[in-house]
Amino acid sequence: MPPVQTWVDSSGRRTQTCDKCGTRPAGQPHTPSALRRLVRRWFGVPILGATRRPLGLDDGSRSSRRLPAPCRTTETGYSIQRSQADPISSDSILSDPVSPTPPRPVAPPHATRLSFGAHDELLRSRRLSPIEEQPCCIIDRLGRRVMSRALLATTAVLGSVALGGTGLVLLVRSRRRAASPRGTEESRSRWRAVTINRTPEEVMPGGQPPVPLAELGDRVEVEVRPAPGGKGAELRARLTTDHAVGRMSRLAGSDPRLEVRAALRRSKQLLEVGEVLQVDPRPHGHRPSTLQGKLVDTMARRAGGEGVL
Amino acid sequence: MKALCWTGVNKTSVETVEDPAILNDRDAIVKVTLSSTCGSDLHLLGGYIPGMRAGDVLGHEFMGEIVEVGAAIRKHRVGDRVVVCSFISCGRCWYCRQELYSLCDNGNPNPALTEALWGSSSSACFAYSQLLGGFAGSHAEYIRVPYADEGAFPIPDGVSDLSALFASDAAPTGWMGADLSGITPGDTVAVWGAGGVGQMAARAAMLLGAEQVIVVDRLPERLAQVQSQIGADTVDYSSDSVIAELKERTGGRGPDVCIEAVGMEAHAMGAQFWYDQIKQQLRLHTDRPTALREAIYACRKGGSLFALGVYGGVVDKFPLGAIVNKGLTFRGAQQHGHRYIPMILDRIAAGDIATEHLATHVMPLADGPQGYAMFKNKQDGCVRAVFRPAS
Repeated sequence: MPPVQTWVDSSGRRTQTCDKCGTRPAGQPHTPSALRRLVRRWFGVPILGATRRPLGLDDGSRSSRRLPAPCRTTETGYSIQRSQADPISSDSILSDPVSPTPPRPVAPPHATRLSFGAHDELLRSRRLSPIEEQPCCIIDRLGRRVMSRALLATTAVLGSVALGGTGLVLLVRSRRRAASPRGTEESRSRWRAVTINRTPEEVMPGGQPPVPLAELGDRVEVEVRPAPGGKGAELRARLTTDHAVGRMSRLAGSDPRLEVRAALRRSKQLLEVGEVLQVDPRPHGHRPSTLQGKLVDTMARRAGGEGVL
Repeated sequence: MKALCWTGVNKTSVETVEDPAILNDRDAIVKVTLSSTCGSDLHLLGGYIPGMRAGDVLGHEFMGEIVEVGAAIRKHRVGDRVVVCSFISCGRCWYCRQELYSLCDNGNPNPALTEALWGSSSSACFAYSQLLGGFAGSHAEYIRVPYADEGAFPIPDGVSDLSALFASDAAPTGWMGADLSGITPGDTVAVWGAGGVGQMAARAAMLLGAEQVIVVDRLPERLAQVQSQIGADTVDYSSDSVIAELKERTGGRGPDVCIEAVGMEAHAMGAQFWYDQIKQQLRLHTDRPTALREAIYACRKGGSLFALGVYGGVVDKFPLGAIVNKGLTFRGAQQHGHRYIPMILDRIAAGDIATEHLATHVMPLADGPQGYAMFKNKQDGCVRAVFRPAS
């Protein structure tokens, strides 16, 4: 049984030496897959493209250091660190068979600096080729095998999907709250405002709100304040009472916020132009009764009170 | 009265509709003398702009005679010959006071639709779907003009109806693109699209001091008009490489200012066109920005771009990297016509701007469907089909 060493990966996590190979951290490439063995047997060439995370080797001092990324990367994703003392060509590495017995782990001097280089040196010392490297298992500090490779992959995929899905749902919900609120607390608290090209005194003379807002009575709270940059006055209104509003009430047109928006817009037009612009009745040709047509009509009918105001 | 109505995707018909009425004190009723088709109508016709309702009366570029005024109208009287801006603006809100008339707060009675689509509501435009107000259009014998004191302009004596017609939309739109893109004397300006708006933008660029103006299109009759009527250079993108040609003519720099006057149904040669076309038909994006991409690519470092073409929603493969890394200034707008129309009418009267040649096909309103088909398919050298509702 090789001595147990502690390895530190790029995220600072410690793992111990794999009890199968004794040369590298648990969870790192170890055993070639059946497919890779077949491809190499039939075609005599390895499948390239195996990738590994950078690893640091804690050389006994247990000083966990985050190691820099490999200095150079080959097409296999490996960093080549040639040792002058033990020159081994890549050809000889690839052509050598798998060593039948795992040697003792020997951490070369630069293993603490460059993780891939450390691995390559270990590979050379064991006469292993890069294609032999496959993930094996996760081993905890007590040397117990806690997760198989397949389970690890499955967990990773499912976890990513779950996290992504959760994030998407949260994003949609937060945007929905921001853009088209349906919670009762939001309908109560949010001020809706229009900026009017008039002075605050002209907008609410003597504190009296414009007629469309005054018609809503005590259902709304109204205030006015100067707009910055000489842009006039900000006329603001919000509901004074809680209303249980949701999608259905919005679809049904009973959402009280529709009235607030429409009253604000009408107030603005009256104050700026002196009249509320009408569009109907207007000339039009034959309007067939279609679903699309009804949808467009409904959208237009609600357009005075809806929106992001 | 008779009116040309949109009845479905690529379908129009002339129908009998109710006469318009004064609904607000600041309204006027105009008897339409001439009403032009516009390239942006084709987006409505093709169903690319949401909010069209079967039966909507088309047309937003028109001139005519005032036959009725509301109680609050001060500048006009019955009998005035006027050209009317295609955008409806109150003239009183902060945006109108800044001369940003197409951003008017009060002109659009359906603000929620454009708020939902763009974040804020823009002003209304005649006959441009429920999105932009839902007002009836000008391909009719009569039209109601809201805020007529602001949007209707008297036509000077000596300016023909046909010349004044294009002061309604094409000429001020083109002028605005040249004006707001920041042309300075000595600049090279490239304009994509040799339709009415593109030609007017090219002429405006020349009048604003551009040393070299190059218009890009593929239709020979339009390129010929650019050379003969506008006096600008041309590039035929169906036979030349636009980028190489523009580089060659600008000493390798590229145009200082690029104006895109094509819009959401851009045509192009090659795979890029089909990519955009397929995605648009599948509604995976709403607009085909082919010409806009090329303009961004062609523009010199630190140059300026202006999108005059109509875009409604979202586009794919937008070269933001080129804008950022070349330090470009990119603007766009619907026309702030009220700002430019009086000056344009004066320039037409003075002979600085020629517009009549755009009206290649003038016809009675009863031939409206054929006129639109001809205009859409670029048949018979049609640059603009113009209708005479009174005839």
